[in-house]
Amino acid sequence: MKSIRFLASIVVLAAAPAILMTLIPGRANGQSQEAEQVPFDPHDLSGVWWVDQPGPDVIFARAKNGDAGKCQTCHPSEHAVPEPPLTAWARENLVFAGDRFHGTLEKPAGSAFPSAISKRNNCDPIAVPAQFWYTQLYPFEFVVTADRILQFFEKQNEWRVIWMKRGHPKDVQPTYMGDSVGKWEGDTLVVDTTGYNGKDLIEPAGVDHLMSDSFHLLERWRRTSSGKMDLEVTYYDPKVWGDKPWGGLKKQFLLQRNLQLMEAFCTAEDNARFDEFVKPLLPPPGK
Amino acid sequence: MNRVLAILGAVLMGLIWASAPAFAHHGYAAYDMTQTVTLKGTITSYLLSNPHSTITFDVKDDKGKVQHWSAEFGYLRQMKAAGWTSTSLKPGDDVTMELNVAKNGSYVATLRRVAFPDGRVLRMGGGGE
Repeated sequence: MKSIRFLASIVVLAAAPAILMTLIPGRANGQSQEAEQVPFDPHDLSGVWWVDQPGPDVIFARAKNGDAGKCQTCHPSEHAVPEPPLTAWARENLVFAGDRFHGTLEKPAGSAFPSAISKRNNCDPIAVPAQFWYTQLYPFEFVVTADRILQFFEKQNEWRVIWMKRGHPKDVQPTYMGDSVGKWEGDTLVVDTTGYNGKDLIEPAGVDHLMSDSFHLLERWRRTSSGKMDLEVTYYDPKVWGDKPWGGLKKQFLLQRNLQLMEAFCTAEDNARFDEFVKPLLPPPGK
Repeated sequence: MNRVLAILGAVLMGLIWASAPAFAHHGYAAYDMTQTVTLKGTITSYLLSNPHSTITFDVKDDKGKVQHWSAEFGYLRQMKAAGWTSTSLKPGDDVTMELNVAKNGSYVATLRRVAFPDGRVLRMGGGGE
């Protein structure tokens, strides 16, 4: 009997760490330890959310592989399908940024508008869908109220309203963020955004042109467990892609129970300070 | 006349370079990412910020001459997630750093790791802009 009790106590002691791990809250850097059996309301998207973060070794390994500057893998395209072909109008009229996220600083020849890099350095609005790309770097927060859902993006301190009890106004004022309306289809929040002013980058890397003012964004948000939420995004832009949508963009977010959004304004002062830092890295004139 | 033209040309090139478009996001292409260099130095400035955090530090070469270095590392959210604070480093700290240095030989680097004499270590976080 004593030996049985002794063996039982050994088993309990051995299992204790595993038991304790299920009770420890998720770490603030994105590794939520949510147990799948924790009950949740799929219509409550409130909280701070962030994609799973790669460790620094992953980032440096990518850079070591020579992808730094090309950004094919340090910021890989998140679309599972290629961009649809451009319309003739788009080829003639769209603003082509011509540069990658970390690429050339030159304004494209003939471009009447700033390049993608200059838009970022000017601290131009990011808006959606480009903010979804930044969620690999910065978290966001949903706040749910009676008639709207507020989405706060840490990157550049931007926010938007998803109106839940109205449709798009007939005479919507075009804006950088557009007008977003949402409705539930079962446990999926479907968000429809129109009313863009055509001045946004669609994504900060991988899409080298702006949207047109006919851009239309469709999002499908689904909280799949207490600590996970999926997003599926489809772009429509009749002036740019005709009747072809551009989908294949999926992301998954982890609930960050111990994270608060930080201030992350873009300022000319911060950009100028860093410009001074990197000046020694620039090639000398003429090269 | 030739001297005047040469001076004007130099001034013009300087103006062109000084007015180069902003370079606030640049990736790792400027650094030798194939090997890590270890330097011992004294911190002279430290700033957690966006788009990148920075430190400056002095390193004595083997002849006793002081080299003035600067290094960049993660954006604010990334470093907070890795446990850094506004006081993780301060001027006067003597530390050992692992870095990837600039390919062009300038005293500029990207920071990988900081070790203190008492054994504490500061590492980078995940993500990267």
